[in-house]
Amino acid sequence: MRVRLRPTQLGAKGLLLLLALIAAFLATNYNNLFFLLIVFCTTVGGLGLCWTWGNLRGVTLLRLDAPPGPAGEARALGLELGGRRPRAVSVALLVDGEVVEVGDRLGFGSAEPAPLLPPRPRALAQITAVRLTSRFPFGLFRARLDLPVAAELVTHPAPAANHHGHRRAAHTATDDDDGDQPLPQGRRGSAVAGLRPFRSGDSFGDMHWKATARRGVPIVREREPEGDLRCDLVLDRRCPEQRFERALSRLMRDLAALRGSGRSLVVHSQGGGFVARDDRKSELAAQRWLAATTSLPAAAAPPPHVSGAERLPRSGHGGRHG
Amino acid sequence: MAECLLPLLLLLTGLDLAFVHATGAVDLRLLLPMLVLTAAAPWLRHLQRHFTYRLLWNGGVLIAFALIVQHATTTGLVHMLEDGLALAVLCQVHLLNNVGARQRPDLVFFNSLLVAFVTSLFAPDLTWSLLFVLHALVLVPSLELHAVTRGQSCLTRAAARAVVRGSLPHAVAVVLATAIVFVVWPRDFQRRGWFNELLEATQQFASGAAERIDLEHENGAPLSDAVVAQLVPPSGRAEDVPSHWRSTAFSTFDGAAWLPQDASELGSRFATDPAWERDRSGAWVRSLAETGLRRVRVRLLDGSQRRLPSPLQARRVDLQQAAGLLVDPRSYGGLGLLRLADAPAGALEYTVECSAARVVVAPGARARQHMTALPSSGVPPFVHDLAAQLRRDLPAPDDQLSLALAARDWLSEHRRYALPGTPGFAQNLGEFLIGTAPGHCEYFATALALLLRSSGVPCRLVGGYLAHEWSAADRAMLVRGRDAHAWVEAWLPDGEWLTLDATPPADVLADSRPTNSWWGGVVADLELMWATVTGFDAGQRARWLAALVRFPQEHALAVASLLVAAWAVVYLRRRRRTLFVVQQLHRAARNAGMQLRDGETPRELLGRAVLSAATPARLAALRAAALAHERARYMKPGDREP
Amino acid sequence: MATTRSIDASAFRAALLQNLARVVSLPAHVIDPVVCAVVAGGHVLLEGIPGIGKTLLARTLAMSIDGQFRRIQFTNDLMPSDVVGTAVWRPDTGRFAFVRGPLFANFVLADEINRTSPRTLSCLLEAMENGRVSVEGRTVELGQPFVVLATRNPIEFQGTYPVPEAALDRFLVRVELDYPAPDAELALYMGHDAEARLAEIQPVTTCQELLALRAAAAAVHVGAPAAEYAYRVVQATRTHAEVQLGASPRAALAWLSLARARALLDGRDYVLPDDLKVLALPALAHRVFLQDGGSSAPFVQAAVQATAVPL
Repeated sequence: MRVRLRPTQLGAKGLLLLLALIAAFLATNYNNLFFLLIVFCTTVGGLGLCWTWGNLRGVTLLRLDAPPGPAGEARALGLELGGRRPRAVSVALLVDGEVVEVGDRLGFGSAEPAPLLPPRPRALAQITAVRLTSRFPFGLFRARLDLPVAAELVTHPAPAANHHGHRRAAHTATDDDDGDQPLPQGRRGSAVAGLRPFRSGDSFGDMHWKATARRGVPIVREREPEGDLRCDLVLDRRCPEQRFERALSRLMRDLAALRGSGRSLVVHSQGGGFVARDDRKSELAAQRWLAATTSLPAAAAPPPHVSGAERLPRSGHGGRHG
Repeated sequence: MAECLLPLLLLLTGLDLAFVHATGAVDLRLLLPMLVLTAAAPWLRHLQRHFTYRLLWNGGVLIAFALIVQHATTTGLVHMLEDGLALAVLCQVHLLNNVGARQRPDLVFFNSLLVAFVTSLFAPDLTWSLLFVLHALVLVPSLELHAVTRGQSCLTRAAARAVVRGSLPHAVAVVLATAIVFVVWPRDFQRRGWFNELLEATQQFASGAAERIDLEHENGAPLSDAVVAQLVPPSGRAEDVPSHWRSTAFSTFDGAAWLPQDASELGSRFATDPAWERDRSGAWVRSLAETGLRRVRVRLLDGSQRRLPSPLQARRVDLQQAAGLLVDPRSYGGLGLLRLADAPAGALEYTVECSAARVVVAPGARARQHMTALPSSGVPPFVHDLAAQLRRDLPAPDDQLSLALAARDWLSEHRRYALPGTPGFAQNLGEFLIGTAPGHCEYFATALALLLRSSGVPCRLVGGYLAHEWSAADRAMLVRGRDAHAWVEAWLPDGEWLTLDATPPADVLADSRPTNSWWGGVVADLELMWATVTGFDAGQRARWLAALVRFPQEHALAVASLLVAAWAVVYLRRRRRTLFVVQQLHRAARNAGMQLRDGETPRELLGRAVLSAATPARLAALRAAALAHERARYMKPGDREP
Repeated sequence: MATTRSIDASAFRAALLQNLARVVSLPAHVIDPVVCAVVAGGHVLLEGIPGIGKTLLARTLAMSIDGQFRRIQFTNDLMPSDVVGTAVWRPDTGRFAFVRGPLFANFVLADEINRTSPRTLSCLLEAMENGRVSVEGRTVELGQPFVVLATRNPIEFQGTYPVPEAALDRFLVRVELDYPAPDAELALYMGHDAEARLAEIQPVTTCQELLALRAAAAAVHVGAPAAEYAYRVVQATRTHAEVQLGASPRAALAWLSLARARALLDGRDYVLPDDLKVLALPALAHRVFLQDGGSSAPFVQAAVQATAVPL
């Protein structure tokens, strides 16, 4: 957590100028005002050095939220710095050794925009540090501070667009439909668990008229709780990069569709898979899996066989493009 | 570059123009268009998109550049300073108008500093210093804003204002730190640079008296407002201070310049003045009648003086601090001063005793000849005509005294006085003598000397200071750089040296600042103050430190009461902010060796105290304090009294 | 007047704690909030695995206060009418008569409330909220005092319904029970049968007196520093970045009413920050929701520790 200092271009030029002036001062007879100016320039440099250092000294990282986000889309980060409040810093993340600029913080009391992570490709990356750089106050020196942090940057595939209505128009003939099939939902809430008397609030669509007529009291169908619905998918990772990405996008869309539906999605693939339920935790795990997975060569082992499960990418098209 | 930086850059450039204007070297007619261009920069920037505008602008700058260079090369070195400074501000205005996406403001900052550096060599101290403070207060915020905006693509108005507001304390801190370092840093006022020494080694006169009065040169070093010396009469009366204080005597005129007497004699010496001798007390004395003695204490603030200014009738000069100083008694009429390496820098004090007697030295033939010599060329023929005319008008044509007085009166009545730099100022002696252009004291003195020598009256030109500004506050006569003066000393046939000042006295006084107005007084005080700062040397530092150490001993009571008052203020402020019960609680906790932690309630503290090693009495006191606090703070107001 | 009231309260507390200690061995940080909630007139949510004395605690409380005790085991087929009661056709009178359900008691132990359907749960919550139930269009007042001690098993979520956040807000306190301390558990093994001990319990007060205590608790003074402390802590829970939903003003009011009850039981008629500090976790933890859905208890604890006490 050491603050590193080095002169900026302006500072280096200023230093050269100062040296030249000092040489001129020494070469000629003593001159009071010339001396005053040299003192002034040196003071600006010296205090600038101290203040630039002090600006970042003691800054700590309280919190870094790097939420999972879709590939190719910028996302806002949550960043909270503690200790002293630095001014005019630019914030960057060290992601797998690469420096990613995420924005500036002015620190002058005005509203600060949240740091914005630029669009990234689908990957599971490690954030090793938050790098703060600042040339405040005079721009003569640049201070750099790396705040170590261990966080995972999950960039999951962007969910495929959901456009059943005009898919024909939008697609060219060579496009296959991996991204367009919705999650099968025919069974959703359809299983009838039994009959029970009508209670206020029950839907009239659920009325079992026959039983009502038989018993003389309103009877409704009681439906199976929806949470038990599950959908199995098999992802074959042996396919070209582009098709693989499309399949992942399609999976991502299915994952998004799970939210609030009470269903679950089980994905089988080579080297494991994931189970996504309608909760945040399993969704995060699924996103992480989708971010990290890679395509396999055609010679690799096939995915496990699951009876009745849909296959992705569709085998019919796989041969054509493979 | 962010737009918000532009106003600060405008200010910076404006200050650079002011710096240049303060030197007085560059004509206002040249500076005003630049000022207009600076002020118009925000609007001109919008035109930069157009090719025609850029063509016109760059062409105009090139033409101006060429004109200045042409002027410098054709007029010789005389206008070097003027042209250089004009070039510098032209560059600054050009840079300002080109600052944009491709041209970063770095160069504007650097050039502005360079202008400040160059002008520091020529401008009057106080004006320059005030401008410098303003300059610093603008430069630091602009640097800061620049540093902030380089990361930030755009800055709202409010944010920019916040940045500038936040930078002002930095600017003030920088200025204060600069002032402190400037004053405290040991400065060697006498340091000689190798460059100057190299220059002087190539010159003819290595005797340390390189001063010369060059009439063709438009007085390169402008007259500064800095106080050079303070003349303190022990009587406290202004009329006890002689008006003319001589530094250097010039006896040879080469047609364009006057050369100092000791430099022009070329080794052969002849008696012109009573000789200085050292008496047993170490003071310098010379044989003058002890009649009407007046004493004046001189405080020479200007450390660069190489003479001890003294009146013609000086009889005794007593230098208080002689260490490291070498007095040269052969400097004609006055005393030369050489500072050795170990000399204390800065101000020095000496006492001058003046006699009211005439200064009489029997003139020798060689001396006479030397003092009446005229150059073969460079003397306008008008001088001889005028001298003949004056002699004709005299009742007794051979009376040298009346001739001298007539010539002096004629000049002061018929010629106008003006300071160099004013419009129409005489470019050479001819212009002045013919009467078409006004001139300053050197022209008057030279004209008078030439008139006298043309008529065979031996005389010399004297450079020094005219003491006329009485400061009632200091009970002293203030002598400034701008009070530098030149006059003539005529050597009458009976051997008396007579001071003749042809410059109309009213004009000299009118041209200097009116010191009796309140404004003049303020300026004078400021200048004195600034002179103390710039002249703050090792001796003064030692005196200040000694006074600082002595102060608590001598004023123990005052210091003690000051400390008590400060403590009381701090205590009362803190006390007003905290309630009594809370104070009591803190005190009881302290007594028990405890301290209230963050997020801890008094009861929890009490619980901790019970487990600690506090004595029962302290514990009981803490318990009582906690209970009292609880009752006062948490109970219903009606229930508080038990 | 104030003095006599205070003595009553602290004596009540001492006797009640003695009774409880005789039957169940639970630590003070569990029993205190429960007792405070009873005095403050609120309901209690007990969370913990089965078999650590939740029912015993409820029964002992009921017996100590000489109130009527009923227990409802919640299952997913439990109907609202099973809880509230139902109108039954009486052939002898020739009309419907209302048969009161188990809710009509002073102390109701609602076991495993997360097992029942939201419908039945909402019926219980309505009763808790209003102190009355609506049956067949009629409103029937419940008994006074009416205290629900609900239990929830946090370990097992199979076949359970989530208890909505709004429902949690109905409970004045939520207490998490853990295994007893080793020595307490050993003492439990060596002691008499719980039923036998329960039989020895003598009521320490009556329902009427409890109602009077409640009135007294409501009159306890909250000074400006105490209120400010509560505000600071609540504010701290709201501003923290990890928090999705901070404590609401109602949560703060509930917290303060609990603190009032504690102050009364402690023999004071003014609230101290200490009261608030001790009760922060049971009063606030179930009303603060974190972004990741985790337990907010450590976070509330940290907020309380970090907040400066106004002196």
